Amino acid sequence: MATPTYDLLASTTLTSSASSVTFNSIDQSYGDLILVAATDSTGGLGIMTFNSDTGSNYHRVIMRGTGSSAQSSSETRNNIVVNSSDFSVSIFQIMDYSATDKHKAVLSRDNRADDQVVATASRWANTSGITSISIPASSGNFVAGSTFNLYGVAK
Amino acid sequence: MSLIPFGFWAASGAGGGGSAYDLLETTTLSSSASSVTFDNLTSTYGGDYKHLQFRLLVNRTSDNPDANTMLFRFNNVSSSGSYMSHQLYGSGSAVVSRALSNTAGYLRGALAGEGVTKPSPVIMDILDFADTNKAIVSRTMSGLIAQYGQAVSLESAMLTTGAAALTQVTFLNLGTHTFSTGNRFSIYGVK
Repeated sequence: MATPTYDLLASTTLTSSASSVTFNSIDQSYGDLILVAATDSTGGLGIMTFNSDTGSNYHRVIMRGTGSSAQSSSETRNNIVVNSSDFSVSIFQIMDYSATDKHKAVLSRDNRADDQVVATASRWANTSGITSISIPASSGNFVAGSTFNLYGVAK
Repeated sequence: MSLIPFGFWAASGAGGGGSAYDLLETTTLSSSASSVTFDNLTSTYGGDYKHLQFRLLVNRTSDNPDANTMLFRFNNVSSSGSYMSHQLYGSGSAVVSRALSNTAGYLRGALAGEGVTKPSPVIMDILDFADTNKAIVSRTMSGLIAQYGQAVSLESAMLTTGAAALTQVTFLNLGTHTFSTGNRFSIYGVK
């Protein structure tokens, strides 16, 4: 029997500039999380972390087109990048986020009209369920009007 | 409130029109398996849904880097040249574009995660799956972030044998590799 899903868990629209947005106490009963961020920031980037982990535990491979070239690179970081310029749209698919027996895999697309389009696969090297997501601006603030919506998808 | 429930670009909300995105089935492997098949898709879901989305989290029982490709078939078609796909993928050092024609669709970037703790994510959308006047087409985003390989991939694929409704989807491996215990295969319906 079909199970209605894709439920809005939390939504934040900034009414004034803010240096960070955090989702705490995330419901653990879903299979996947989808984070949709339409943002602009003074620094051009947000940096997302799970469960307040700021260690070098985030691995990613990225593919991007800049309008003049196509590039791919990989790296280990202490966060996941969120493009944030001219209200770029970033959508993160966080798979099996509540599982406790596997690292967390993330597929994301960043659509930054002023600069680049990006596809990324990331892995958080931690088997804990994701109970909080923090998204500080890399520098400065997210501007008013930036939106952050978190959805839960059953599995 | 309108609902825009499709794909990984989707934005959605709790609208007054009822759910337009439903979980239909999930298979979580209780033991390793060489393939996973979903049957009777049009007859079961074609009356209620317009599009299907598959969400997978998979890895292999082998750490062999040569195993870093998984396959899929529509309607159990396996004849030579039945699938055309175009892929754009980033390997971590270069962006590669290629076209394939084969006996199955290749998820170049779906790949195998290494070990149980490093599964690869796959999201595949199949539009108008019950339409008998169109060829079966899919788009997929997938990734691998592991020791022996890494990639992020965007792919379009088509069953080239003619117009048909989608009755069956099979995910399978190259060679003797198998999907691991705990791997998850979910289908969602979009109205």
